[in-house]
Amino acid sequence: MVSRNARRKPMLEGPPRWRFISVLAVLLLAPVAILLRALDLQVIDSEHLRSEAQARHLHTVEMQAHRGVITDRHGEPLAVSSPVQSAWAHPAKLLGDEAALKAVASALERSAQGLRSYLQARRDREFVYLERHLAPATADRLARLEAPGLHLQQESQRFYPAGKVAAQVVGFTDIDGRGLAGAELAFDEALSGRDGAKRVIRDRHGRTVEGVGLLREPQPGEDVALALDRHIQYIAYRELKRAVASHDAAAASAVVLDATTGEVLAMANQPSFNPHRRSELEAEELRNRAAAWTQEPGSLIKPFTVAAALSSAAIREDRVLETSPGTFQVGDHTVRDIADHGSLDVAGVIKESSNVGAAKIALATEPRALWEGLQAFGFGAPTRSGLAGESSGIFLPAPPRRDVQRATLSYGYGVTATPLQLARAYAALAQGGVIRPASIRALEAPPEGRRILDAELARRLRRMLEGVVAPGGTGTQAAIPGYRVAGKTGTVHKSRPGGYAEDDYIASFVGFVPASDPRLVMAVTIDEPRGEEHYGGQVAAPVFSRVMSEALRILNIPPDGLSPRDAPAVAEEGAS
Amino acid sequence: MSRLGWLAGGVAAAVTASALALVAVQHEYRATFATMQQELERRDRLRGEWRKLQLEQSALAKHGRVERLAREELGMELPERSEIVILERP
Repeated sequence: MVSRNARRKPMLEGPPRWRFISVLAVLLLAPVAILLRALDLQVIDSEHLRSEAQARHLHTVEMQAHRGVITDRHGEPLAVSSPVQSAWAHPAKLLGDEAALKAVASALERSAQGLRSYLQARRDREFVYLERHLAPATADRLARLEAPGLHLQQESQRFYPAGKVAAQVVGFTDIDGRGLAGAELAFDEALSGRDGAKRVIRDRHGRTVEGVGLLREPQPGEDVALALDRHIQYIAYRELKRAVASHDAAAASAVVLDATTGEVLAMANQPSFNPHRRSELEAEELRNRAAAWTQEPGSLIKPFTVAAALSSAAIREDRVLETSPGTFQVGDHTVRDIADHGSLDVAGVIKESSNVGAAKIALATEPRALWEGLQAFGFGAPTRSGLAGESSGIFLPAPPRRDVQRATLSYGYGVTATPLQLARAYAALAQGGVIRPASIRALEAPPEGRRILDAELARRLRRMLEGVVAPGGTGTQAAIPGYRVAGKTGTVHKSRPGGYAEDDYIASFVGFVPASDPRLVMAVTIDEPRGEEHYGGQVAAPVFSRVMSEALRILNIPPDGLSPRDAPAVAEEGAS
Repeated sequence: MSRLGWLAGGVAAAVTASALALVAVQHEYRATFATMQQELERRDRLRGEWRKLQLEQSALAKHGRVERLAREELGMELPERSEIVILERP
């Protein structure tokens, strides 16, 4: 024992004891410090660090909702979104590679110098669009370049298969897909849906490594079915264009309504524009004249004047009115007819479109009855069609007090209406005195109507309107072989600031077919026809006839006015 | 070992198991999410294609084009009213 102790002693006396303790202390303190730091990071400061880390690699990415399709009533597309690529760049990165920059510039068909200065001006940004909505070939070329800082992003572009034909009704969107005009604007909320968002992990280069979670599922936009029938729309557009060309007119519009439901089957305008080429767009082309352009209805209002007079029992239908000598003095105003029509009954006033006759009828009617009678047909009120930018026209705010006002109101001056409002008012006559809102959207069931006129009276008025198209009337050119047509012509002097223009006219025709059981109503308005012909019966009525005869064929509506010569033959089975 | 020792051991094992399960579930979630993303992308691609086809079809069936083809290439025309015979079903 002693010897062992003796041998050990020198060893214990080697290094001093304090050294051992201090080494031990350092070795023990180090883990304690690490532990404390870990505690600090993990527990005390953890929130801050976690958020920092996530900010560096966790990203929230927008998921674009698909915009709904606009279709016609049969599901034919009128506005469709199709995916396209857009190119964007990280300016500093792309500027760093001269060769890549040149290649990108040539793919985009821009000068390298121009692209460089464009990027230089935006150097401190991280996202700059180079070009949006690329042609597919260009997008492919750019993708193959694999240039640093160049990225392609999928977006969607709106296409309008009907193009010019329905441009004002369908409208268009801006480059980010927000509705700006027409149905695109009116139904923007339903069409756009709701963008979604997802969380992804990205690496240092900004590439998505993996998706972590869905924050909000994108809600695709709804498809919207318009009431339009693309085929009838095309025919209305084609015939309108032809009429404008052959009469050298300034503008024109046409509305076709389904008489039974108030749905807008066609709404065409001239001039029109190409929705894919909006850089050349002019304000005049953009206007949906059929719903936004107000005109004085002129003679088109006469059936409603007569309706107001007859339903308030102010006059009887067989009342004979003296219209000779074709002028009639009311106060200091002279009411004029284009010719001396002699003695006319009420139907004759409509058929010959006599202003004198209409004025006499109006003066025989109690002012309030006249005013309320016209107002019931929707003058001065919106049609509730659902179109953006619709106008309601101007109507007297109170019953007319002066005789001159009553007289001029009776033949459609001092009041304005859109072609759509006129079509709707005639649809009310066609429907036996029930007025319905017009609708630009396809309907499942006809909307609730409001009775404004006795059914029997409406039937008699339809008879009178058939007289307009019959031989001797003002609207004979609206006739369609095989069908009974009812309608009314209108020709007004265009009002200008300071009075009425002597040589500028608005020629119009509104009518419905088949007169025995009306299915279609159409209003045609031609603005400023130049040349020999300027009457509604010469300029607008032929358009009505051509569009309606094709529409009747398309819709398979059987003829109701066959002459005995071509009455239906009875098909016999086995007959050859 | 004491009862307390067993309990501590059991809890430790359970904690480890749940930690591993959490990782497994997380992994599975991410894998499923990735699959869903792929399927959504496929849906979008198909939708894009469908819309392209719709556009193509409507471009080919444009009324102006059909009318021109019918009139010019096929020599068709609308029959006059006098050329139409209307039959009534007995």
